[in-house]
Amino acid sequence: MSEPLIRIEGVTKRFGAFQALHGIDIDIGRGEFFSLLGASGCGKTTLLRILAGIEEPSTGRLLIDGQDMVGVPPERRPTNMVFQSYAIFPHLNVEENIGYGLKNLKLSKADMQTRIGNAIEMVKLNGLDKRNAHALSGGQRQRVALARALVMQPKVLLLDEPLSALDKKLREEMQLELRAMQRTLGITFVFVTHDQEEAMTLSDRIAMMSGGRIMQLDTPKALYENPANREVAEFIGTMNLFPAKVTAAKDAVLSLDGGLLGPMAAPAAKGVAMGDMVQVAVRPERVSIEKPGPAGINRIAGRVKEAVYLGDRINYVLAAQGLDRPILATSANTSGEIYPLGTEVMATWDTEGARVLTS
Amino acid sequence: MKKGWGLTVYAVLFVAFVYGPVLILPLFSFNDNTFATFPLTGFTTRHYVDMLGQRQMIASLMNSLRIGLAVTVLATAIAIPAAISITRYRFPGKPAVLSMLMLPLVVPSIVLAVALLVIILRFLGLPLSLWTVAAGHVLVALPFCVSVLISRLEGFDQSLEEASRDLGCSPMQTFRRVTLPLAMPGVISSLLLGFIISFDEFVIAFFLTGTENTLPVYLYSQLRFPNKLPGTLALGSVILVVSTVLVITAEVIRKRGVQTDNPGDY
Amino acid sequence: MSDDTKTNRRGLFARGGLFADRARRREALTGIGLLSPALVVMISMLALPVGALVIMSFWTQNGFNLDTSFTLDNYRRLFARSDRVTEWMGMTFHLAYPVPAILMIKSLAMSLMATVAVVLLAYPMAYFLAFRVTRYKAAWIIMLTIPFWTSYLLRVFSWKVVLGYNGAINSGLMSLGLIDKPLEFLLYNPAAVVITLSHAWVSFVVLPIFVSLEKIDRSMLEAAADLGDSRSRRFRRIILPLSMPGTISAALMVFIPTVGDYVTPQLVGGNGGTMIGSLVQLLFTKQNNAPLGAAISLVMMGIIAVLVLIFLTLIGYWKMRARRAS
Repeated sequence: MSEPLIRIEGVTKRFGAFQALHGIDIDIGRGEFFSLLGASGCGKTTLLRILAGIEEPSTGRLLIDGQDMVGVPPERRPTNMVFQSYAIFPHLNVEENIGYGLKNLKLSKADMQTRIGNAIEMVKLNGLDKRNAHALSGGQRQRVALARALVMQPKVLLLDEPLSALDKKLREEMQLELRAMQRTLGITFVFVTHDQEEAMTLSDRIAMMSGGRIMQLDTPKALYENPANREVAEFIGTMNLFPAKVTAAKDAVLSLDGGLLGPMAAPAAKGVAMGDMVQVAVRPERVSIEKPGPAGINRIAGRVKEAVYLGDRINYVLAAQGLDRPILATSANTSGEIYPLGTEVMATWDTEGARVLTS
Repeated sequence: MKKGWGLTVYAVLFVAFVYGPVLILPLFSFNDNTFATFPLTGFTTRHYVDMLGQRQMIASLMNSLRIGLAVTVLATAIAIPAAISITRYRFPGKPAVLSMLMLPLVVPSIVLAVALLVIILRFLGLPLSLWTVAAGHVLVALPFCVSVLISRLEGFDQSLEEASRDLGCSPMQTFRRVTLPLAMPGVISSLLLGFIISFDEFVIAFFLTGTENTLPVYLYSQLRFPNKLPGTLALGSVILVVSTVLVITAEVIRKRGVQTDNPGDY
Repeated sequence: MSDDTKTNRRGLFARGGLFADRARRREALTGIGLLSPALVVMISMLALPVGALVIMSFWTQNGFNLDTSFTLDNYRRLFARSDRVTEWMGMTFHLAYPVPAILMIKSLAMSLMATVAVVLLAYPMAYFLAFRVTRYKAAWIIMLTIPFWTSYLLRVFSWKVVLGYNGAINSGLMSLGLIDKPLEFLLYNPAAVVITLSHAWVSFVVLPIFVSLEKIDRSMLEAAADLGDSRSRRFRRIILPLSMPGTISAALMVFIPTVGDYVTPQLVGGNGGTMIGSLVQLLFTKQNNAPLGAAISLVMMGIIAVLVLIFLTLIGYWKMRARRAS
């Protein structure tokens, strides 16, 4: 990235004795759809509010378009926000809500009308101009909040879990609309969510946060395929984890000893040495189920405890000796056959499908 | 449902107990008799007409109106920033400050009255006047005004103000365009309640007034004269009606504000 | 607001707390700045006057002269022992000046009776309002609020009209032929004061109790019923404990100011119904002994404060509130 639009450098935030953020460093590029993903309390909203200027960082620097933002109040920042609660002004109608910020720009009346009209059009609220705030549905309120922020033509649009209050169908519809809108406008979006699927659907890059720290910052694909640690692996999708000890490393392949789980192999990983105790991580869709057979590398014998038929695929839950947690396996439904409960089977996977996690 | 008949009867009796003795005042004020006794002897509005001729009474009424107005405007003006501070800002010692603001509610008013009397007369050497009464009334009205405004400000989402800042308004513009309009029902009830408190207050006014009377002080001075009872009853009834109308207005405005501002699906 | 920002606000002075953080310091200063007019009122019209009252209580009054030299005489006078024994209500006082002590005990007793009566009267009403009223709830609330906001003086005065020698009850009963001459025991006694106080304050506590009942999550009651509690057991095991903190603080808001009340004893108490507030008023006006009046009011406040703290500690009020909050 040649010249980032947003540069966050060593930002920390304390609330009294509680440390909400520990030294955050992020660069966000122009026109990027960037998501902050994490469970509640991970610091993602605090970071977003620091970008907006509603909170100030305790220490650290924040640059937007090369300008130092620390100490600059929210009204003088090139950012606008869509609030989680939408924060629609209850004493104003749709048009007045959308025009709220424009009044500060000293525009001509005609200019203002045009911009409000365009914004209403963009979020498909045509005809609701004079509707009162409390006569709007949840989805309409969300659209007003979006139009109210976009009409200001910010360099950065900040979105704080804007879809979490909507039902599933409406949420999926809005996800597509948001993505399309961001592509046409070319504005940088910073999007906060706790929903990993939503983050994957929308984002160019995702910063996965936990405990006020960034666990991993990557594209959705990299986060899923190469999680940096156990926490990321388990937050994004599901992951089978098998404890094992590294016994040999050659030709970019690690050999591991899983004890009762038998021998395993996995692609080499940075910082892993002979004798280390690690976790071998395998996604359920990488695990295939076979009839019982001889033991071998990446082969674990188990018994079917649960088989969930989902039409296009079947989710198996297997009990295996030497493992506290069950093995999860997702098989594509190609033959229409299901292994019945209690069947002895063999769970296997390819070496390339496995990852080694050290923490 | 059959349950709860006992409680309903109790509630009716309770309301009768609370209202009964007070309604005796207007009842006898229309009775054509110098004593407040049964049986009623006839309907008259004479006592009300007589009242209009009482120069002292009219003077005390005007005093009470003036003090009430000054007190409520002052108390509300002080209470608005205080309530904003308490609901919107983080700072150490907030619970202690809040309890201190509520202190005049629990200190017996005679203690407030004599304490103010001592400092005004002995330490500051100021003469007693309607101004000293007004000062005391601001003190007792303040906790009520602050409470009403706090509950109003807590009633709407703080992110509305954050959104306003985010959309380019300074703190002052945000106050004018968002906070004040949304807090308006609370501000109006605060104004009305502050007025009623001052208008009805007796103990502090009794101790701190100079040569001029407020209406309750005048009323109290009339209670000693049995032959003035009908006039007193009429005056009392007028005060009751005025406070009742103001309270209902204040409460209705407050309730309506709460209802219309919490729309939507949550 | 998201959970991320609802954070621990304690430990402001801890490492990295308020004073290490410029933004937090600025916010705190603005907050205190906005509060300052109210604080000025509280300090100049409450703290300083009470301070003046304290200073005054160390002075003495000799006829028309105020002696401003520091002395504990006023306090000594209140507690000075004497061989002369005063009897009151079966209690003996070995005090040289027993009037304040007697009036204090009497005021506490009358105020306590009124407070208990008020809570017992108001609780069922609040319960009705919280659990039974479904329609016109706002109207009920307003109806119960109005009496509190109408003139205290008039509410007390109305009892004088009701209970008086020529009052409503006497004349009513006489015109019905139930009695021949007015009942004299109705007015001017402690009972009249307690009744009047209860009436004057009852509307003040209905709403706080109602609020603490209304806050109880209805699903908790459904859960209790589901687990086999009868209606009365639900009341005893859920409603009563959860509404207790609100009820107690409402009761204290009645008890504390009524101990020092003087309008009520003045209007309906007669000689038998005087309270400590009446004595303070007398000392500041007719008897012209403000220093002694100041000492008495301060001792009164001290006794009330100590009693309230003992009471709250005995019933474990703070634990109760903490539990309720969690």
